[in-house]
Amino acid sequence: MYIVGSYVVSTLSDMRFADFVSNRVFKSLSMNSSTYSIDAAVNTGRFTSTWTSFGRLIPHWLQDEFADLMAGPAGVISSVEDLVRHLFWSTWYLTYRPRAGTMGQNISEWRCRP
Amino acid sequence: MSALVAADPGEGIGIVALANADAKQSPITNIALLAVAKALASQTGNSTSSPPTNSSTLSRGNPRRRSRVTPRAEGTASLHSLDIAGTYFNAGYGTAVLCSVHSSSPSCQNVLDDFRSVDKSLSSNSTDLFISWISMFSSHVRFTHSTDTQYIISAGTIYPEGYGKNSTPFSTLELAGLATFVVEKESVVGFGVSGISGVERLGPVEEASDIWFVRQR
Repeated sequence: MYIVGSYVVSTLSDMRFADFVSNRVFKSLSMNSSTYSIDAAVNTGRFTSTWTSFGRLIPHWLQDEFADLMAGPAGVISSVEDLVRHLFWSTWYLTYRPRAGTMGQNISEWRCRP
Repeated sequence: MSALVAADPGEGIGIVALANADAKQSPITNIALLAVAKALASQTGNSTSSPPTNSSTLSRGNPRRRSRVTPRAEGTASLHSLDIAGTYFNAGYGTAVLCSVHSSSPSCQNVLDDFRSVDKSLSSNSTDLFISWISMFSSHVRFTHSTDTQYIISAGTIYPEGYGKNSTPFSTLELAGLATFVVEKESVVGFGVSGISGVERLGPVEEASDIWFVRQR
């Protein structure tokens, strides 16, 4: 389902689904630590390792050759801070709807919550 | 799953929990529930609020249903008397070469060496079957004999030389489904893989399975 959805988006936008998400979501929300590219993540110097459930180090599971195929359902490399930013905006939009002069105030309210 | 993103817009609470290890749903769910409890307690001024015990609101996905496959009623000769190792093909999944402990080809020997690196008990009497292939989610597959025509499938990756600084061999094989072989006129014509899609279907193996592999001669 998600693979089909990403194909529809990439066809209508005439770009890779990963590029569409990067341009329309990551950059729009200033999610500067989010990418589909392993190389880009490695170049930041902040790309963490991954482990099995029993503690053995393993390579990143999704190799570049499958990245485009799986970009719909999987493959986003991100950070907690970026995902909180995404979560805020997705729930804020659904809950409050944008009104002039209130966007900055709402972000501060979220950051100040304990 | 080892990533959790959840929100309760009514309470103004959002949770993001990430773990860089496989199958950590339980601990990150517990962490998220504890964080939610503390956030709710701080909102109400109640310092004694305890975590919700019902994690259903943070659970995702539907329970997987086993695919019911009806084996053919005819020609179900015992697999023990037949050579089921060999080459099988599915248009979507490509070619799968099933190796037994008696397979002598160089490629099968390499596959068996991989499995022996993580299973020292693998003997020449084993009735299991082994695959090494290139796919997105696995590089090795093991068929463990269950009933007469059925094998339990385990799939994952074998690291015969370890990975990173730890060179001890290990594998990530885990239960992946069920294979049912079909025999016609004392010859294996193929096998079906079920238990992957979670969709329940009835009927002959080749129609009801999630994936049908045809024996190549």
